[in-house]
Amino acid sequence: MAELSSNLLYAAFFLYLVATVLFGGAIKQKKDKWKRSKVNGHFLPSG
Amino acid sequence: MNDIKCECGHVNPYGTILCEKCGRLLDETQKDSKLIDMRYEGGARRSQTYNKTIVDKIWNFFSSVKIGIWLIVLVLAASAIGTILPQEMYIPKTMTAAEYYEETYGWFGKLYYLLGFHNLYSSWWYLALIAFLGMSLTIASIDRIVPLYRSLTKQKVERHEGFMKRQRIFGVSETDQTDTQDLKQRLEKQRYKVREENGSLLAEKGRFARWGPYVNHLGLILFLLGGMLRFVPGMYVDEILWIREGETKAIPGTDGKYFLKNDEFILEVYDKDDKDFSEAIERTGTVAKNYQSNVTLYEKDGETLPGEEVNLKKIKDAQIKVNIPLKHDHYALYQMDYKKDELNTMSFDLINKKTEESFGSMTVDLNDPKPKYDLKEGYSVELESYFPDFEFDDKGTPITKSKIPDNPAFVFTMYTPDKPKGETSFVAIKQTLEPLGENTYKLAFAGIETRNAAGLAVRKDMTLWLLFIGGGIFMIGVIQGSYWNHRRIWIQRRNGQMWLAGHTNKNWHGLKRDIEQVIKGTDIEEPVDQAQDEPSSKKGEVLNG
Amino acid sequence: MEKKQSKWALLAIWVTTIGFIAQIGYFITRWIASGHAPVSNLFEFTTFFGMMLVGAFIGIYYMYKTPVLGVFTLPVAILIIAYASMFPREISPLIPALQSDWLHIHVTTAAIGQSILAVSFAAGLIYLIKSVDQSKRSAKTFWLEAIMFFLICTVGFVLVSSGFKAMDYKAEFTWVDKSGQTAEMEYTMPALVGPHESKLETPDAFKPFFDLPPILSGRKANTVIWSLGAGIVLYGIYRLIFRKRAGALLQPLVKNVNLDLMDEISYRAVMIGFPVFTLGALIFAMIWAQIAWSRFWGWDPKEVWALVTWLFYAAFLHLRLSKGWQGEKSAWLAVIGFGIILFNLIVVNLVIKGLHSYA
Repeated sequence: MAELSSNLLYAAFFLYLVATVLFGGAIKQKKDKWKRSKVNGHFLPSG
Repeated sequence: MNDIKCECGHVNPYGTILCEKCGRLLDETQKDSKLIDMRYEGGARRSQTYNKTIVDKIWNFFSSVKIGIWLIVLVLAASAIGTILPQEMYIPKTMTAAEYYEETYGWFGKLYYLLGFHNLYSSWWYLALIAFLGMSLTIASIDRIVPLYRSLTKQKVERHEGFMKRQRIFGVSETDQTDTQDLKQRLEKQRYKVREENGSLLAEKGRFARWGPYVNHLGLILFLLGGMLRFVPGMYVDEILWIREGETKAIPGTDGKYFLKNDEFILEVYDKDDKDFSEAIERTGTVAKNYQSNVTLYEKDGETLPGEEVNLKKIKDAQIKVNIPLKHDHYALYQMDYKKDELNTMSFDLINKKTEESFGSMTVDLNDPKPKYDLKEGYSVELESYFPDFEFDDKGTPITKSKIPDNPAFVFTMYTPDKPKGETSFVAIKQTLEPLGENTYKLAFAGIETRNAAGLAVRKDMTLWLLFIGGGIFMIGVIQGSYWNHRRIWIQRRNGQMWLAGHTNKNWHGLKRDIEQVIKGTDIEEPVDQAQDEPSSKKGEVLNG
Repeated sequence: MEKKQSKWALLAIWVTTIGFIAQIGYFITRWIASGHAPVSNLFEFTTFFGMMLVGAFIGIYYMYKTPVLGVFTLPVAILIIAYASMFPREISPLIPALQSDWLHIHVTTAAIGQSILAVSFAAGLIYLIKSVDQSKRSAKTFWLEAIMFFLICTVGFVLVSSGFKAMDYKAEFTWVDKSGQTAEMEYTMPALVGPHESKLETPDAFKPFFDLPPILSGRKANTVIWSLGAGIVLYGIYRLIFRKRAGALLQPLVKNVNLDLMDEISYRAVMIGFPVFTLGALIFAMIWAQIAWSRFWGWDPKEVWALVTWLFYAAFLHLRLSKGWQGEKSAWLAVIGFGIILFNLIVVNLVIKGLHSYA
């Protein structure tokens, strides 16, 4: 059980690393993809 | 002080910034600002309107949030300073505090001690800071809650043009066709309370969040009062009871009402071969598993005169463990400390040094030694002096450090038929001195018996209920103020346009989402967030970031 | 409300969630193995803190859908977990004082509160990276760089510790402690500084340059020096290659960030975290202290620092509400707040000795 436990922790650690890279990829995306998004931007001045 | 009459006819108290009813800007100095300050809804506060008497001045001082923040920062800094070196209550009791701080920490320790930081949390100035903070909490809350209440209950649905324009969320739509009844229903679907006047709407939700700060301040004030209650006599007992196995003692702090017998003290440690923990135990050494005192609680039965033997009535047997105190009649006994294998009795044989013939043996109770021990006929031993925790002082005189028999030493006089005047012997562990010349007889060490002692804390704290209520009210207030927001949306028809303004005390994101839901599919255009400091950030980029 | 996310972001949050579930698996299995909630020593507590930071991030991500928050929160969580793993990891038995359900209740609630507050740090940091002008040197660029340097030192600590651990480096010392007693101390890194009046007992081990006064722990000071040194080397290499501040390097990453949104996330995280922190680190703490130590408050250093943290965030909220400290000022405060939380985790646990020190 103790061994399974520490393996799961290693797995989590590794997945967090991968997720960081993926999030990095997400912000590198070109912004046209987001043009039609519904969040929040609506309230900005349209100039 | 003159009241201010607004164009709408409402009479506002002196100091009001926004008309309580219609929201028109009354303070001319703020005319040029793009957004208005919505704190306390622009209502007048006592502290801003009176500044004459000394009471006014004190009131104004403590009602200032700026002063409040300074007090918080000062308490914060002082508290942190108190942790640089251990406080006096946590240092070993082997020497005076002055010596300890200087010897252990050098000049810095000496300075720390001289500045009184070794007892910082009970210093007059620290307590004064806390008291000021309490006053600030009380006065600042009272100063604000009344105008806030007035403003929130007197709100009109239709607000002044300037009020609308100066809200952070504001938009004008060039349409006259919008059905306000539809908007009203949509708002109600978002759980807003909607009021309507002449076709204008005021939608409001979560107003009670505005009272959160006042509720939590009330909780803190009660908590501080609870802390002060401790100084009322009879509210608080804090004693230490050292009790040896087999002993029965009056419990200190109970005025002799309760007695405790220590039946057994148990110390258990983790098995070092335990498969789960063996690795940790190997690294750190023995790990304690349980400290436990098995005790019997007694109550005094009937009245007794001083010196008279008391009659005890048994109340209950109990096990006191760490985290499981014994509770009875507002008193609680906690397992705090222990002493394993404390010396209990010491036995000696009276022998002739040459022949080693024994003339009887005696057992000295180290906590209650007898003045004289009779041995075989004609042989006796008198105890002249007893040092339970013996050492020699600077002059070489034997003294005792404490009453606890950690290192007992005795001066005995041995009376035997051939030495009727007696021979004096100084007996300590592993040494015997004969200060008055060579003796014929000696007391040979024959064995010891030990027993355990439990250190129990005796507490009575009649202030806990108030602290509990204060803490509970604080939590309610802080949750009320943090997890709910007061959101308002004003919708008005003006000169063939639809005006929409929104305000929230926090979480603008949530308000924007609400508005978005309400106006979806209607003729009303999305309003603008006027606080957006960056005109360059365009649509869509938000999500990217 | 339907929100469009990029495939990358969707994948990223899924991976994060699976990682979080894996770590919950770690938590549960370790609980089963040890028979008590794994928050009883420094490794377990710090790991839990890292885990809840990820949890808090996932929660806030679902509110605001901001991938950039992940880019900054997850590395902090990763560093925290890596830092935790440098401490002894074996399952340890509970001493009597910790044998209480309040251990689970108090410690977990306090850690959850701190981790939500840590999200406000991440958002504040993003705000600062974007808003601080990197074109000229200023106090702001200096302090922002100091934060980066601190993060790099943590990396340095992890690298150096695991490096010497892999080599199984050990050096035994005998030394004289502050009460004049001779004691033993084991170093797991080459001793640059030794304990007070030290004598090296391990042959061939590295001899310290000098000894420290008795009130400083030689081993801990040595570790700090190694971490700082490793941090300086790493940072130096970085500067040689990129020839600009770390803040400036990261700036393009956040160029599309809406500052207002970051400000709101940072503030919202404080608003959500503050009540949880109060409940766990003060109220539950007092209840447990009353049961275990017979008094609800005893001015133990850790208690005091919980109070200091609480007072700091109270001041933060008042400054924001009444003095209008929003935006950049608020972001700096969020950073300082996290600094205090780390001070609790590192300095109070390891240096300031009290009833709580379980290192």
